[in-house]
Amino acid sequence: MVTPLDRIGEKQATYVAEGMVLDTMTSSSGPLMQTTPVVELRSVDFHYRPDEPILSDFNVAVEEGELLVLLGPSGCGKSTTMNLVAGLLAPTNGTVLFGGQPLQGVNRGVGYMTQGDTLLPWRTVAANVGLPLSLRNMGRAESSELVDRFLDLLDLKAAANKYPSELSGGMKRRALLARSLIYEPSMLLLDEPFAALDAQLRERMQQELLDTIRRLDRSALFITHDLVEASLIGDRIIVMGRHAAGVLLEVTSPFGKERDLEEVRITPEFVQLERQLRDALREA
Amino acid sequence: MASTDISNTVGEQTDEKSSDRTTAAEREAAMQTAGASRQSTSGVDSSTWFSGWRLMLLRVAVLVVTLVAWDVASGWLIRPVLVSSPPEVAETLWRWIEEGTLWEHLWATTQAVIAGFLLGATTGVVAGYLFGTFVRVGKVLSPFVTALYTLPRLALAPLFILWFGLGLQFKVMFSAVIVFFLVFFTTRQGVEEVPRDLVSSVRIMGGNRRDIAVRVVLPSALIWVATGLKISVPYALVGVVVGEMLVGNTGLGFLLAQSANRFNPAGLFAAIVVLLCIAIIVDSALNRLTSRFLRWKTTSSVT
Repeated sequence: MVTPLDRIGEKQATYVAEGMVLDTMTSSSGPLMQTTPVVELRSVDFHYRPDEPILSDFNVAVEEGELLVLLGPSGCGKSTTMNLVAGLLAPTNGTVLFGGQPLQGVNRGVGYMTQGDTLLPWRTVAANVGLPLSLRNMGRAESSELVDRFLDLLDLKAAANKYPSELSGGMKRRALLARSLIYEPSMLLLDEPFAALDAQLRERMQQELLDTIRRLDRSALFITHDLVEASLIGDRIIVMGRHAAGVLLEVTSPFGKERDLEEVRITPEFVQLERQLRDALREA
Repeated sequence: MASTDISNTVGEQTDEKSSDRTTAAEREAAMQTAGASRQSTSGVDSSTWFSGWRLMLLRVAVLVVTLVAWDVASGWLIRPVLVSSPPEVAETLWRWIEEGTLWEHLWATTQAVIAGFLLGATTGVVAGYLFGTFVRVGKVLSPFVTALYTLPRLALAPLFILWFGLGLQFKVMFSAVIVFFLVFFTTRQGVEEVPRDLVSSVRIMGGNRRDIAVRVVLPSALIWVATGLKISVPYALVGVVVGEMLVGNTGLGFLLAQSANRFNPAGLFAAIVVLLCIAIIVDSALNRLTSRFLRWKTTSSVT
């Protein structure tokens, strides 16, 4: 498979020196600035009851090819943000722009993965992965070729004809990832996708996720309350505060896009980034 | 490195990080099979010894012991007029078979059970689906349905006799009503319990209302519907037999009532034996049918 591997990140492979961890309240710098963000929330308010705002005057944008992490305690509105981008919720005020256009109704241009097991239990792995294609009425031959490719990409070939109940936790995660990528959405929405996994498997899946979305050159919005996870995988990390406090801290990762998480883990930059996020979370 | 090595229990010694990652799936699969075989070896004694012909033999033994105990007790411990005895019951059964009485009544009952089950099940599935889908309508009507459900079905018998007469139609309707409620409640439950995140993930993947109904709600509710159908088959039989005991002059229920009126315990037990046979046949047929449709549910989980 031809991959756009080489396009991104090579120059960033050498780690940025200590002290270069950026702490800006503006959007990330660099050549990506000029392009339209994949998704943008503009002064968004959201509440179920007026006296309990969940988001107020909230602004965030995910740039092309970027993995943006929203980090925050439960109740800070990060899942609400994700559901707004998914179009499952509509903002009380403000706009959600997707590819520069105001979003209306359910957003079919995103891949969506939560910590829940949303594989259809009566469909085999292959049928689950191919579901978005059959919902789009893609021809059988074309669809099965694409399914094969994605099963291959995520190491699921051997499990193609198994039912979800026969899969391990990690295989389920891979199948869900394959399903949310197969229809080539412009971005992935990941709501604590690995929260239910044990620590070791979570690490492996984090690496696989990074490798896969780099290979396919996708953007992603990743939600977590785990600051280690945020420090490891984010290109940019936003810390959100409780009670609609909005963005408390925005940090650009010192690590390049091609990264080996086991090596990243032992760098002083990682320790510093983690500490920075931890301090911010304490305020949240 | 050390962290990935812990999982490396199947024997391969890959120290290259990248190959570690690519073989992750294989390793997981291998660990599973290893785990599975360990399970089966530990449980080997009870499972293989206790299956196949040994199990069958033990069951036959239980049956034989019961029949012998029955035969011995009859006349010695208990008066034969209360419990009859196996030879007498067998004789009665043989006579019914020879005279053709059995087939006539068996057919009458079977016919009514099938018709009652089909009628009750279809209306139950449709109503349950509608109530579960249109939640507001369901909310308005639900106390009435519950009231009707709580009403003892036998109380409806006189009314139904008035409406449908003393023949087949009465038996069918009586059993259909019983089946309806069982299927209705389970179907409605199934439709309501479709996981919300399943629905929203299919919506984001591009599914419209119809896709969600056909590809998510129906299959997801099917396990409940199947359960409802399965438990309601014996009740369809109950409905018909009770109906036959109340009115009419055909069916196994009629045979029961007639034998009771004539103080004929052998006839009573013969009719019960026939009903038992029907129950066993129907149950195994249903098991086979549901396991075919719900293969995904019955495949055992490895994790």
